[in-house]
Amino acid sequence: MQTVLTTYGGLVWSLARRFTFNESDCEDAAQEIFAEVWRSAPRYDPQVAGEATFIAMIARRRLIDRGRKERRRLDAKPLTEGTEGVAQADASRALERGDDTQRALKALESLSQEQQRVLRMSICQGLSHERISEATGLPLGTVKTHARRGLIRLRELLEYTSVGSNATLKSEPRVS
Amino acid sequence: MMGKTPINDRLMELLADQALQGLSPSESAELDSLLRAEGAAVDDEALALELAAASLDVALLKSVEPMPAAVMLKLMNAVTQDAPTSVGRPLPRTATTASGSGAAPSAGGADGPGVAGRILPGGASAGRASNAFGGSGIAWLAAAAALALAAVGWLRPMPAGGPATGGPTATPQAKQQLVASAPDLSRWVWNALGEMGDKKVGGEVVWSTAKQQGFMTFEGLPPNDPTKEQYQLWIFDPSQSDKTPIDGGVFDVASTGEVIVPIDPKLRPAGPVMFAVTIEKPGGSVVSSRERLVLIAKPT
Repeated sequence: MQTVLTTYGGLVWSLARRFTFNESDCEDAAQEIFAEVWRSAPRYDPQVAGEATFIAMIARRRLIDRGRKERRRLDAKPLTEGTEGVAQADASRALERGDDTQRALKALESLSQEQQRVLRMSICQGLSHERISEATGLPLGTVKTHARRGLIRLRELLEYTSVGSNATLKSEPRVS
Repeated sequence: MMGKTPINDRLMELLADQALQGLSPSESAELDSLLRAEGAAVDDEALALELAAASLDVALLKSVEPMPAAVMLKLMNAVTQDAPTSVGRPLPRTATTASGSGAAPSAGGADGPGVAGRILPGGASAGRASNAFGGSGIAWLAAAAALALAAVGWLRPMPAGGPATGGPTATPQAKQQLVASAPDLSRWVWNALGEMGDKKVGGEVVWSTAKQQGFMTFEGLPPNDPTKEQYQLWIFDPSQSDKTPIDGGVFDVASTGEVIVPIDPKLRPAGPVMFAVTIEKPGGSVVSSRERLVLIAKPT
């Protein structure tokens, strides 16, 4: 566990910081995430996704759940310079994070400009569709369409499309 | 909106929304309903969308902020408090590629490959085996987690489509297939007790010892918060003392509607005489205190 914590502690901490409002919340979230990683580790398959992606997926699930359960909108934070700043990720940093991230950036670049913009705001800042609509001036329906189609296209480009009947780490509907 | 949208499109919309920002209770209920009609492949779509969102999230992280050392130390103690203090040597990286062999790993750790399942079925390119950040932590962690379970002798690799630590559900078709094909099928009816005694909880258990397969069906069982507690099935069987029933798997319930959960026994039941459900801490218990025994099922 120490290896995982030292290797991915920063990743989880950074993701949690973005979704939480103080260090105490962040610490609680990180604990939940690593407990889930601990439980899910036997089902990890490196043929499907990199470790960082696997851990980030678990982290995102937990953080989104927490945000909803605590009735804290993920977009409660004011829009700051980060809105677009986050969008311009440093590709060299992505290189340090493995093959998945390089492919993800490349796939992102193939989406339309509007899809890229909406996805960046949704994923990187956890902004709701409504908040993105406010921030961009795009109609809500258009934001939803860009987000959904963009993510579905991204999934296709990343080849996370091989489906079958024996997935064991199932995605479950989340209720706030 | 739903009336104008074909079901498959609407399903994909909800799955994408779930991966991006989660769902409201009404959306979640709608998704539940659509999922029941679609079957297992949709779970893979949902997972693929979550992986896509996660990979982009990691890629676009502006910077990685180190976790404070004090927090890391605290987490180390908190997360591993139930784990054995010594877990043997790490597994080689290749160990995590095995899946679904059906053979339990040895407690010694050297034969660990059997513990590793998959987060998605095969078909993705093999080129993705690289470790993000260059770590090999999860392989080691998988071994450690497996050994933590093996130490108490209750380890069995996750069956295809079987319950994960969380609460996957099965399709009515999967249950129906067992009902139609198992000559020794037995049926059991749930009876609520304890804190569930005043709730209208119904449903049944179907089990085939010959096939070593079964499903639990629930109606009206209150949804649980997996971060706080989870349901756990116990199988009372002649092969075990009543004090140590067989762990039938930990599961979650997301809605009070009909939920079908595959049974995941950690040992091979010889012929169950009773099934019971308790509420346990997240991840379940090795031996339940039975303080929160909420359902029992006896043969019909």
